[in-house]
Amino acid sequence: MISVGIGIYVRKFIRNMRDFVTAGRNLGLWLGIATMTGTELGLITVMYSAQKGFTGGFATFHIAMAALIVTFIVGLTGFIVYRLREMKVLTIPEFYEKRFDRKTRILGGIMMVLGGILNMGLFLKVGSMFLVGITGLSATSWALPAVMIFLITLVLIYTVLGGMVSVVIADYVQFVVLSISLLAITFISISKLGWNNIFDSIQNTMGTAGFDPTVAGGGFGWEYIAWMFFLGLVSCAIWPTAVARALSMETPQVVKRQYMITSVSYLIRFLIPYFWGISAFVFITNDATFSALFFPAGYPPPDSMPAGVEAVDNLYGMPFFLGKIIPAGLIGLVTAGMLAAFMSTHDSYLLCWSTSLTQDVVAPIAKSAGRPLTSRRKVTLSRIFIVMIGGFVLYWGLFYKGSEDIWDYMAVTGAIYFTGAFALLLGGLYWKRASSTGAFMALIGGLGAIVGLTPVQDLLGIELSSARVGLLSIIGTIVLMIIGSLLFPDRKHRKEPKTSPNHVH
Amino acid sequence: MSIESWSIIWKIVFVIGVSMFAILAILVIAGGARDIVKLIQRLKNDDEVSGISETISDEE
Repeated sequence: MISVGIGIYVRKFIRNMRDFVTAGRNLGLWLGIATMTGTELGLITVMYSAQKGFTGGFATFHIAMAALIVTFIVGLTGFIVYRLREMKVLTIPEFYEKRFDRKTRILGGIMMVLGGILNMGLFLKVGSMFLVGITGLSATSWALPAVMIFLITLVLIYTVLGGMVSVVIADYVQFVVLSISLLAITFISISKLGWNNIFDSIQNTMGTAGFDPTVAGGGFGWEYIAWMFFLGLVSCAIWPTAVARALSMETPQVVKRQYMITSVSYLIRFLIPYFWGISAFVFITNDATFSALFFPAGYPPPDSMPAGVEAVDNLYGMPFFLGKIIPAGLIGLVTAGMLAAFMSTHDSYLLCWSTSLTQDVVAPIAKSAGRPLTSRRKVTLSRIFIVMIGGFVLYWGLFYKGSEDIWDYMAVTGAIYFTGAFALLLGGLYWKRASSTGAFMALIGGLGAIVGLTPVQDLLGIELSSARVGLLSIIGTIVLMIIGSLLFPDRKHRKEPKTSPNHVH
Repeated sequence: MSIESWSIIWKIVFVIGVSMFAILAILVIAGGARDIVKLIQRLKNDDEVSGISETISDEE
């Protein structure tokens, strides 16, 4: 309700597209950190990370460490984000047009929005499942669709009204609730299970694989670690919702400080949910009744269950655990915290994809047709797109019946965009011979990441890990960018992005 | 590296990480409130200078 009030209050300050998309580039350092943390620490992240901790133990902590290290290095060097902010673009595809050409911007915008909207397709449903589960409402009755409709309506109202201004202020309020909730639940978990007991239990059940991410057969390995470092870079420097925060900051110098400090949030957004998942695993495996629910054929679970035996989905492990250990009086705080995580991610994603559709697809097409859009029309169009995307997410959550693992679904849909975008940003910002043909080829090459989906692999009769497909896709898009640029150079090199001593060379 | 060494490493990472986040949360809560006041003030000032309150410009 506070968020809706904020939306109504700040609506009068939105005078043009710049205000709507980047809050007039007026964000101070601490507000920028709050909104970045709120956006990137969503309920969906909490859910799939807890699932990862549940199955991988403390070895999963290497993913959090990778996120911390990469984000800090990006902040220290300004890699990608500094130059983008310096160029004063509103979106990443706008940079494509400045550096390459308009068709690259339109294709880049379409790929970004396609991957982005599909990527957030399951956010609403999974988030609502958590809330329905932890509050004890039945997941099979009217509760789930009712919660979904209520939540998306709430987010749509304040995002449509106030754009980035209401999003960042709402994100701040949500950061306060979320951070208190995260720390409180962690403290309760440790006090209930015992600090040493958690580590000893993982050692006894998972052995070395529960601690050492490099060990063979532990589900990770060096290739996976390398992929996680790259995903860490994507999360902070390529993913549009994170970059949108950098583009909203007061100055490029503040962006660097923002990233260095926010690296702690990038660590925590994985570390704490992993720990909750690990705690849930310990709680369940230490109790014979609960263990029989999640591991009916014993631990470790067999590759295929005996006939007639069915285990509870381990995605429910963490909410099940929280529902058991959190005192009744604190359930409200936890629910509020997770609701905050849910809303702060949804608002930013809705704003990001809708403004990109307007700025990077519709507006350039209209301009090419000789009918450029006014700022008023752009804002109106963005608001319409926000409602349409909200409607799509609701529809997708209610009716999509896919059976993929959430993490795989998100990684593959996201990779459609970010594998090509990485090559374009890297080439466009740091290689003067990068051409529009090379950029176009790299964007199309990004579609190769779809091979990471299990049904596609089944269709092709191949079996590759998501890490290998991801790394090969990245290499492939970079190679396409280089080959395309060398074979088809632009007739006349465009003006290089403005540089300064702060740049990485 | 032994399992005990890994255990100690992850314990240190967790304790330091959570402690840093607790400090960060306090700083962000205090500094963020100040930034919001500044943001609203700047938007108000921009509004008064442009003299187009409650409207969205027709510029491209």
